[in-house]
Amino acid sequence: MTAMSSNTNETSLSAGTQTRKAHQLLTFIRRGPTIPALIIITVILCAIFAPYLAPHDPQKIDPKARLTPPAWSEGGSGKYLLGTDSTGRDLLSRIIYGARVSLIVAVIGISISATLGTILGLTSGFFGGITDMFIMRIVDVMMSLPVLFLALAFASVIPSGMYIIILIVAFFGWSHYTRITRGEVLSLKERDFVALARVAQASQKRIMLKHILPNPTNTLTVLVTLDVGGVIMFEAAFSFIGFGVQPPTPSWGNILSEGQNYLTTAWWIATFPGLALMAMVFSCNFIGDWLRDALDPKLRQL
Amino acid sequence: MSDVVLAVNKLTKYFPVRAGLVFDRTKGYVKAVDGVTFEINDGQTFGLVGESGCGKTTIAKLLLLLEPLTDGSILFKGKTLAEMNNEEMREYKFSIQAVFQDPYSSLNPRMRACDIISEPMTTAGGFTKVDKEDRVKELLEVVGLLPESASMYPHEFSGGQRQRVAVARALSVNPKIIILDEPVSALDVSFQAQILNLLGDIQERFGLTYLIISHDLAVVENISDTIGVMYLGKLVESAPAASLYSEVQHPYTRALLSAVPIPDPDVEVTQEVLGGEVPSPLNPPKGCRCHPRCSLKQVICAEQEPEFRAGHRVACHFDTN
Amino acid sequence: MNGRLLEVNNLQTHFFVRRGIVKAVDGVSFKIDKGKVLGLVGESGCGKSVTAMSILRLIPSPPGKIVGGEILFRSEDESGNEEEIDLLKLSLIEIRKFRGKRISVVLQDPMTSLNPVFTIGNQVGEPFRLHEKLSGPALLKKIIEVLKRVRIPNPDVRIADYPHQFSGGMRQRVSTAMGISCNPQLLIADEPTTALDVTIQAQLLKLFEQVQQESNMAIILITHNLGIVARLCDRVCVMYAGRIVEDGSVRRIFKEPAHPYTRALMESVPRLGKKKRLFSIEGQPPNLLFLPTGCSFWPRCSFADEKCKQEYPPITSIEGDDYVRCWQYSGGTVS
Repeated sequence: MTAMSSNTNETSLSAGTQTRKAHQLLTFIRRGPTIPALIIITVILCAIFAPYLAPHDPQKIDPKARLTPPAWSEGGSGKYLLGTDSTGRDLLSRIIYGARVSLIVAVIGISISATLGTILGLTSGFFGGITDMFIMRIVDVMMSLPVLFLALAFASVIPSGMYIIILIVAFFGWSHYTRITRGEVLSLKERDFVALARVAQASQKRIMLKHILPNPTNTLTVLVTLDVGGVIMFEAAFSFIGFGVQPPTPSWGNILSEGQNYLTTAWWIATFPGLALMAMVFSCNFIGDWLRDALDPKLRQL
Repeated sequence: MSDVVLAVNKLTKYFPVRAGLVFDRTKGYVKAVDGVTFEINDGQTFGLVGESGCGKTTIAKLLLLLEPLTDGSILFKGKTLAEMNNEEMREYKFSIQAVFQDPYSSLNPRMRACDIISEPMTTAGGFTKVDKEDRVKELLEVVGLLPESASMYPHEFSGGQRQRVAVARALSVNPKIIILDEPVSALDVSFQAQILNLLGDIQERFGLTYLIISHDLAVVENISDTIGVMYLGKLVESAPAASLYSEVQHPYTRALLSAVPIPDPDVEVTQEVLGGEVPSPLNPPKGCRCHPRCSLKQVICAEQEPEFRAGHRVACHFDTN
Repeated sequence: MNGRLLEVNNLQTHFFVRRGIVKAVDGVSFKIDKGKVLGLVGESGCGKSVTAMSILRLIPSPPGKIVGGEILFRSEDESGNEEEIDLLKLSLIEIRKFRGKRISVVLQDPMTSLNPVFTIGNQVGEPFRLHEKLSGPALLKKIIEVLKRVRIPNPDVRIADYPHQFSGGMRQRVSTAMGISCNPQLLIADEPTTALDVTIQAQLLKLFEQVQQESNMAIILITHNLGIVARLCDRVCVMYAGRIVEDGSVRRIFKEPAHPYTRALMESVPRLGKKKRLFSIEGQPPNLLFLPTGCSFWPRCSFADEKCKQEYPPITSIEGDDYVRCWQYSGGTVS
């Protein structure tokens, strides 16, 4: 195996590097997990273009069409493709709008936590000493907090809504980014190219930003992708128990929550948002695992 | 005799060893470099050899200012670093560059070859983008790489090519001195010869002074004018490369030389196999540091540390030649 | 105790990767006699380790696969009859009886080949437990015996130590002890001294010589250090891009290298006491995915002509079993 990786690394400098690169990129995409990627793209498109894609207003009540089953089952109507809920709102439109909530929470929340965590991890690993000890003790404390209880406590004091979930995600999510970044920085710091940058009289700032920071990005990308699934799940759970996004604004969690009362009479209300949630989380995890392999330079060569 | 460009005088570096569960307490010192003195003439090559842990890499780090000295001094053009003003210090820092052992670790995987090579110019300041591009092109040619390689990333190069990039980078700010820390140890035989020849060529072309550090005596001998042999933080013998092999004096050097397998099946193996292993530098033997492994040892060796003798300089109590 | 021990014929080990087929070993044939030392020499990626791992059938699969050839191993069965077995035809269970018992291995890095959480006594005893079903005091006696053979001081005490309590050289002695514990007929040593200092290397080379003479086992020594080859080996196979380009006795290869690559290798090594400009083989070793047509060495060869670029050279006999694969060979050293 060692012999293998070493000889494939010795890529010769022959002509056609450019075309080979293009070819590599193509095979890279072709070998990616197509279905999870399609699911994620669909969800993103739904979130962005919800007003154009949704057949109805997600909050418009149609009392006459209450609990209409999906179009293909008995009693269904072509007007409401996935049926309606207990007040006659279109389920499909609500799920499409729900994707918005999920994605906004994931994107904003994770952006904040990942950025904060990475900066802290970089500082901690790079400067070491007391700075490192201080930051890492905070991380230890963060990781030992009972997230769910504290989140519930938060939510019961402050009026609930989407922003509260974002805050919770940002507040509780950064610590594992810090840990992972710090670990990578600690080993990068000892690499020869950092010593050589010092010999070339590069400033601390230059070494941090140009030499160290770009290297853990692969790991962080994987981490973010895996986190998206987790955060979407968290948002759903939180809205499900009634603390997150408040009705009538649709979120996958609160649709599910409403649907649970009708599980025996109107199975579709809880089933479809549940399926959407499952598909999205599954896809994120799948893509995360794939990225982990795809971004690994050792495996990429093969 | 040409001028001395770089010298070290009683260079010493101790690393504290800390231990303790709650509070760190210094429990002792690893005497990585313990009073080493040598000088390098302008345009010449000084080779440092020794087994792992003898302190040769620490000397490189001290000269490159990657570690602070414990004691002793570094002299550049006759002046110690401590006496230098900011301007002179800056001159020293850009006069000394380095090539390290592992070309897989010494090039930032996220930077293109052109940025890697021109980085010392970027940090030195005062160069335009065009200056840098021209210089990179010129340097790539000097080290024998195609101009197209400028835009490639390290993983697209082979080990030997990476080491060429590292050499080009070291040359970019026209240094006087290049420190070569095991420059070919990680390379295959054919690349090893390529890089050694390249180093010889550019030394002649740009009038460079080298300090080469290696565990491979044959490599050091091939490229050096003077060789210093280190053992446990001390220089035990220093001699012109031409005479080290023929007039070896120190028993440790002799053992080291005879331990190198000769690529000739007809050579009778007359090995003085050095018994035992290198003692811990945390607690080096008293007296002559070589005595526990030396075949010539006498009572005096365990008690008194031998001084460095003049001429073909050697630190041993006996005249073994 | 003479005669053939192992005969490898036209061995092909390929790796099936995304971008194509890497022919890491492509038609390798060699023989080794009982009690002899064969050196496999070449640069990294030339297929020397893959060849050795193929003999042990330890090729990671996927992506690797032995696609052709035969590896004939001649040994005595329980009743003392000589039998010749094709190792490639054995089932995975049958091959396990060979590994560690009749064919054994010492790897480059004792840091990774020893398990840090078991005592060395435990690890050295493993082959005895597996192959000889020993236990208790008998096992202990055997372990101490084998540690003595590799000259580890105070074996009865050190048996309870963990790998990190040993120095690099001592650790490699432990690995060697594991390798020779069941008196194998063939030991494969893959760069056994590369990670060590010269003085420790010298100690280990001496140990290898002693052990080899004591037990008369054959050794396949994989190394890039020609000095070690000159000292230990009887025969040498020089590999380049997955093929053996020259096979011969050590003396002949060092005196009269027939292949331009062998010659270049010899001249590119710096030698003590002979300061001169080194001969250097220009260019890069080929990428095994994009091998040149014809002889794979021609882009770096100063003797190459049209014929070399078109067809891979056939085997040309030199004397005895020695052969070379080069179009330019016409007796003596190429020049």
